[in-house]
Amino acid sequence: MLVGSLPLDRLAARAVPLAAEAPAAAVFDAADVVYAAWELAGVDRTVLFPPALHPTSPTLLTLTGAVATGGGLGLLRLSCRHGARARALLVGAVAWGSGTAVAEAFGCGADDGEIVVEGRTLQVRSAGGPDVTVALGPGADGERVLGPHDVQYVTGLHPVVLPERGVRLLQVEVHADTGPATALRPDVEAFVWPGLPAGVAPVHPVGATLAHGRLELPRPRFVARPDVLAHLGSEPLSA
Amino acid sequence: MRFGIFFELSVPRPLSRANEQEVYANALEQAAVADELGFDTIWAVEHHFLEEYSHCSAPELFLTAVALRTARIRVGHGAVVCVPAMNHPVRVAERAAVLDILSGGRLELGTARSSTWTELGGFGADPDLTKVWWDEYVRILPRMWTEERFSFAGRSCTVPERNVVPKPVQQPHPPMWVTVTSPGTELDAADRGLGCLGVAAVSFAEQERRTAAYHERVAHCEPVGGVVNSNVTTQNFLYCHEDLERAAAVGGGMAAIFNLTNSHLLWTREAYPTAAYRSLGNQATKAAKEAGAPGERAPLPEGLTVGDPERILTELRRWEAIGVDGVNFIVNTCEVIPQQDVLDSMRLFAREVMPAFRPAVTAARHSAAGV
Repeated sequence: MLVGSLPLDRLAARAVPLAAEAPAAAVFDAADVVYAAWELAGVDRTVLFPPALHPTSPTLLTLTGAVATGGGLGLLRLSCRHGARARALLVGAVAWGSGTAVAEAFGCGADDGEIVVEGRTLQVRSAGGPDVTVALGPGADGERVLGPHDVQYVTGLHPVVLPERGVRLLQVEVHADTGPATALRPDVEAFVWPGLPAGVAPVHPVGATLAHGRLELPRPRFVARPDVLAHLGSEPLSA
Repeated sequence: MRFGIFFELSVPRPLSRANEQEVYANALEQAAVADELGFDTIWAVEHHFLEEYSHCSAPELFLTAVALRTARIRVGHGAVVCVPAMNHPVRVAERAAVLDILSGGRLELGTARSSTWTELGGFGADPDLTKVWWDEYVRILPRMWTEERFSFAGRSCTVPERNVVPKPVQQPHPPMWVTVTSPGTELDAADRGLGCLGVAAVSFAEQERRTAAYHERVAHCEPVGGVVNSNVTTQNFLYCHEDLERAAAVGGGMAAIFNLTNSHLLWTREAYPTAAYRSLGNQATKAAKEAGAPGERAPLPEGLTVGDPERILTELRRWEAIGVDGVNFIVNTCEVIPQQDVLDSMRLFAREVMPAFRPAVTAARHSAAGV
């Protein structure tokens, strides 16, 4: 199977130092929970991931976000595997209001910006940073209503620097407790996101959902060494 | 109990043309040996774009090659993907009939709806419609095989009145199956009088539950075809060696590689929000979660038909006891086991294990094959 080939020093350059090993859980209540996915194209998938991770085929670029009254957080991630488990590697983030503190605590390296959902238009706005406009349209069979458990929010990984362990991939679960979700098609009208790895851009739309409810990032329980495979490099965090 | 060989035609990296050709050649040799040894069926999957995991994208051609090299063993689609963008229903009926003719009436037709985004997305197929399409396919295939004037208007196709030719050898038509991965599909199979072609790794308890539910329901089915197939098969791995420890290392390793490559597939449910797919593939990830600490050498899990003949016999008796009619074996993955070792494993199984299930027939066949 394919194994990532991203040089570790380039991964380390993206790693944000964390003051504590595991940040406290973060919750966005009464939030619009958004998800959108696209396929990449024209990029060697292995160079996007460190050796601990495996690219999927195809590799998906996903945007998962919580838009709450007091703030929110948007995570731009690439689908992958850590061992046998489905994961998503963080390559970009935006945060605003209450979400800014969450992003800092989790070491997301987020840009100051926000996700805005107006009707069936999703935007990522910032000053000098990400600038994204997505038209959320009906699929081939129109808009579909899904049960809350029909949407998968994949656990994420992103590089951090821990006080005693050094560079690690922090495993961040994403738990959503929402009402029904509306399934849509994400057609990109504009996409600018500075700092992404070369070739990372949404090409082929896969699907999107809008839901409303609670999005939680639980207290992380595991980190992974980025240089070795999962069965050799998974480490529990102190309780 | 019937025994089959289940081919994914997985190719190790590098994905060279030479590697692909070797995989196909080895599989054809394994099929020929299986025929001599008394195995019942050769099954071949249909997958597209699944690098490394399966390069079996034209199973009708592979199965035809098997049929022309063998005399007795049945050839099974495990399974035809019932998605119009991949296979128009008329083409499925036509190819199946031709294969049934070329094989002398040995075709088993499994049906499926695909479960990876890689494949469905690659053909631009709407995952939300796959179940509707599958239901139409299994209802109209028997009609195309038996009616001289066939017409249909549905979501999978619109066909004005035509005679789909040729007709198959088997009367009224080849036995039909559906691949069972997600819980509940066995009930869909039962309602329609289709056999259960299990392709998921499930526990004894779960298989027993599904089999019991299936048999209770199929007794009251409204068959989609002219004949009810009420058989339940399950999938497993086979590596048989006199040395249990070696068998565990080699066969267990093969199963682990399969489970790992399977877990790396991009399942529809993971990528595309939908209610049409309830589970993540064939539960390889669940098996991994139930393992011990990373790096720990785990004992052979219950139900796995890897080991010395005695262990394999014991496990097969347990599957038989819960009502499984047949077990289809994966005998290699990504060629991690040398071809000669695969063939030796098959021969040892046929000599030491198979007779326990079909003594008279097996003995005669082995005598003829010089086993």
